[in-house]
Amino acid sequence: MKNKGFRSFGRSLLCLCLGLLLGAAVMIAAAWLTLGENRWETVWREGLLPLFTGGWREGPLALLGRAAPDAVLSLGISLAWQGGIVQVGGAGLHALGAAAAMLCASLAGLPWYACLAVSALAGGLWGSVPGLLKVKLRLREALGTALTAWLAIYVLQAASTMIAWEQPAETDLFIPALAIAGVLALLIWLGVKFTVPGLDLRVLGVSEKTARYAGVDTGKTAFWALCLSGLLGGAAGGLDYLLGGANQLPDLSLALTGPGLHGLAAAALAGGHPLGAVAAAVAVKYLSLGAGTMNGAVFSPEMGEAILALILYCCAAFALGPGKGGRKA
Amino acid sequence: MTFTASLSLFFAALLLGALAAAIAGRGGRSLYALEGVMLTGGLTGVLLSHEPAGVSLLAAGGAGAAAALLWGLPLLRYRRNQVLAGIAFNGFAASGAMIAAQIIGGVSYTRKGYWLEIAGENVTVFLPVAMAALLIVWLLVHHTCFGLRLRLCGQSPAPERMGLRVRVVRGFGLLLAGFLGGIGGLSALLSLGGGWRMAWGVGGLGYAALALAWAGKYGPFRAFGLALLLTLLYGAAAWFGAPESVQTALPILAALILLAIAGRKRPAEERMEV
Amino acid sequence: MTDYALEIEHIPTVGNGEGLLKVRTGEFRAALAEPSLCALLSAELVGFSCTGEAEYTLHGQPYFPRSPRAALKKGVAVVTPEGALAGDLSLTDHIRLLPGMLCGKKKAREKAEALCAAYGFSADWTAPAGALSAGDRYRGEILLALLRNSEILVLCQPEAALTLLELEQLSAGLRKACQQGKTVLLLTCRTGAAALADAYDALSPEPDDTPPGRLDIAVGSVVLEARNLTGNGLKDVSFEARTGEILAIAGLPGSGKQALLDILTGTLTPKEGRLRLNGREINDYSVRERVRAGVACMPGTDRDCGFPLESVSVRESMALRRYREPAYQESGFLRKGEMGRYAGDVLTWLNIQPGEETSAENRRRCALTRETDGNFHALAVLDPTKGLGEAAARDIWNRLITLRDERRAVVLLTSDAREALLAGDRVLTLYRGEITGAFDPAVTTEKELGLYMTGRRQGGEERFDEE
Repeated sequence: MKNKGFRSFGRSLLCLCLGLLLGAAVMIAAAWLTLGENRWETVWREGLLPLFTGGWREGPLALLGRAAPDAVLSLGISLAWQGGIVQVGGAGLHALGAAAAMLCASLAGLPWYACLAVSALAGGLWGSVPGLLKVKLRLREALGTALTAWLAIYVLQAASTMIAWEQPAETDLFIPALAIAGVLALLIWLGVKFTVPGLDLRVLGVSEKTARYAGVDTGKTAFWALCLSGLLGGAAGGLDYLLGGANQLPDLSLALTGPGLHGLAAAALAGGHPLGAVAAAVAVKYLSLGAGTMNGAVFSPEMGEAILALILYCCAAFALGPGKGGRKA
Repeated sequence: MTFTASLSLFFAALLLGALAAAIAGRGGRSLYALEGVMLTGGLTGVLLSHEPAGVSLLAAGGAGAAAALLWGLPLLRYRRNQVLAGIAFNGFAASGAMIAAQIIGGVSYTRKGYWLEIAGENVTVFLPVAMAALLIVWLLVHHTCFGLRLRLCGQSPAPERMGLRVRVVRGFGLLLAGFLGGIGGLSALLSLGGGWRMAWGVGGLGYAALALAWAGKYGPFRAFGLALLLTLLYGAAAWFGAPESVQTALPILAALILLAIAGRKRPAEERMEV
Repeated sequence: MTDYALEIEHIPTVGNGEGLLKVRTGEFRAALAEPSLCALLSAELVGFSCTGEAEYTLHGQPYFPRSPRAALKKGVAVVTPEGALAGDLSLTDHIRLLPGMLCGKKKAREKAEALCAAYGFSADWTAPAGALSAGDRYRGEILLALLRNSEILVLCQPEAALTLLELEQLSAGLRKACQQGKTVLLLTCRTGAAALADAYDALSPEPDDTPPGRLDIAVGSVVLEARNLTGNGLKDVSFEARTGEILAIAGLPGSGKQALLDILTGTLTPKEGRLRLNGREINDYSVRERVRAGVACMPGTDRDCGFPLESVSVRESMALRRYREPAYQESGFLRKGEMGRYAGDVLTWLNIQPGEETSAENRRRCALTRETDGNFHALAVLDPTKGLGEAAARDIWNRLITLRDERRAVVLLTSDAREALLAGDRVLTLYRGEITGAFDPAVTTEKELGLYMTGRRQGGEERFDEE
């Protein structure tokens, strides 16, 4: 068991390093095309150095606190992952959660925990749509979650003309956010490992047929897995808003890059392990914060997203995926 | 841009995308990276939009083919995790497009070059291109040796055993899919109108096209019918003056519903996946 | 230059012979080996894997193909029961893809028919391969290999797809091919099949065909009764399993055994028909309720049994059917200690050393023990010895017989006629979802059984496979 854990940790590390290497190549290419002289020095001083050190700028507490939303989102994805279910709609859930929390905070003036609850509810409801379609109509969840995410973001974009965005009243929520992420990670880990529904989920992750022979109600398990993962995704969005991480009503630019991608990258790096997902989310946030401190004139602010996408791509290519990972043919 | 012009661009984008997903699907790989492939191809084409239309289209197709192959390179022999690879590729394409835009210093494009005069009507070149692609895909997949090889790759549990160069056949399939997807992406970007931003990709049309290919069980003519249906919906939304985001969201919703309805019927290639 | 077409040295046999296999050009030779060894040899010959243990020589040259394509180029074609045909394409389509055919439909058809006439084969050229029977697919792949002009034909475990009689008919054609210079190597785990060749080498001990011993007990009352099961590929299947007997249902792959097991387990609902356990209707019982009522089922693959050992630990696998029972859970929380203790007990009882849980043999033994440990009335097992060696298979049979001697009802669903005859007390044959006959294993031969597994019916002489 230990051995297996170490091996998958090593593989994750390898994916991370390979992704970073490819990212560095992209940065060098970008510098080559834009700069005339001092290219290598600029890549190092304006690009790589801030990328690797920028995450510390606000101190460890801020880093961990800011990583909390990503951690919660990747927890949701990991939960579904344990059941062999591909949840790729993180972007939509996150956007819905953020919008719900914003509405609650600005219109109703609810306290932060109530906002968080509402955003989780919104995410849970939206997450159960592909769940329901999967169970009732055998819709494949990979495309179901992706399409529902696009729909959610389109709806919010359409609504953006009607709703004015308000930043949350400045509150220092890093410690509660961190506590929420930590407690959720522990709960999910314990739940998956030590409870009957958790074992149901893991057996479903082996294969649907195995689960049916073992007497697992596969439909119900899959539905609740997607619903809970939606709940966590929504909560992640709410948390992100309350921490001041979202600064406009979600629009389409969040569909392909942004929090959805971060959550998925963290879950993939952790191989679906709930505790690992939190650690991976911190690493992902560290990189994305670091990328934000790069010289924007030379390296586009999107460089961080590109690097994270490359890391996720390496994870996928090295067969770290839910259920049907590296099978042949 | 006139109403019919925007409709035909939208239709061509959906159809070309669905055909691309169908070809990749026949080879046993679901083209989850279609969004990224379309964006890559579309951006390349848009950058060359001041050149003659043929150059722009070919460049879009070429870039799309390269993108599809890039996505599929680790997946040619083993399935690995094509979903995550696809999502990652889409994210990379979107951020890469923005990085490229910054390097180039902004994208300016024109729709002027893409029209033909057919029987007195101004028709976008994408329409005949898409119809030709439909015929070519149908002929290629169902009436040529390459189509047989591709389907063998997708359906056989061990295609290597039949003496096939699996990686080569699948690679060609992906190249072709990427070519069509790239042109479709160009059409999609041109249809998406004024407020479009690079980060939006092709606005989820790639996912919708993938859903169409699945719902049509990889059949090119079924994809054609479904694409027509979605275009009508898009047109109806525009007719009734819906805001632009609703106008594009409606076909995506319809694609989701179509896929859910067709959920139980799956193409043979996909049954291999489970 | 030797006149051996194919030589294999240092075959990792388990203490039987020197592990040497030599096939002359134009010879029809067989090798008797355990299923795992057959699979290993065929995988190495086709170029899927290379363990480096066995050494292969082709016409005096070292032969280590790097891919199936390389193997085919060197003239070695390997046919396995898993098959490689594409489900939607017909045999003609497959032939069109062979080198030199240039995709011509007519040309392909003509050449194929000429070949069939020469060797006395017959095949359905136009039906999609997915609709053919496993045997037809196997024969189709042999035809493809012959049309490809492969010099050496390696047939791996044909008994998994064909009956002995079909194999006999096939061997006549193969012998003709050998006379025209082809070389055929038959890898099989059955003496009956190996004896069809001109000569055979025994790489594993020859299996003896004496039935395992059993108590002479009277057959008791009906425990499990199936009436007119229809749907999911089954047509009006009825049978009764009684205490103290093993009812073997023999059917080739695709005959509906899997559906039958699924119906008994409760993962599939038949369109029509009833199931009764001790006179009580269990049609509407869920999987869990059936386990509680006393129907034990063992699916045919380790994966279906829950023994992939990836995300589920050994102890959880061992409790897979029962982890919702109070013994293993307390208000929703798993009692991992109990599970571990139980798994440990089972492993000790089966005499499995730590680290050996994952061998195919031990997984099967664990699965069988898991299903049958506790209070149950009827047991259904699907292909319990598939892929196992002779000794391991006998061990499983003996366990089944012990259960029978304890007066439980056992339904043995198998694709192996020999297994049905050796382990069963009564044998039914299943063909395309229909029961075609009932037999007493003491007075029935494997060939006879094979005849009914391929379409003959008791009470009528019409054959259904020539539609």
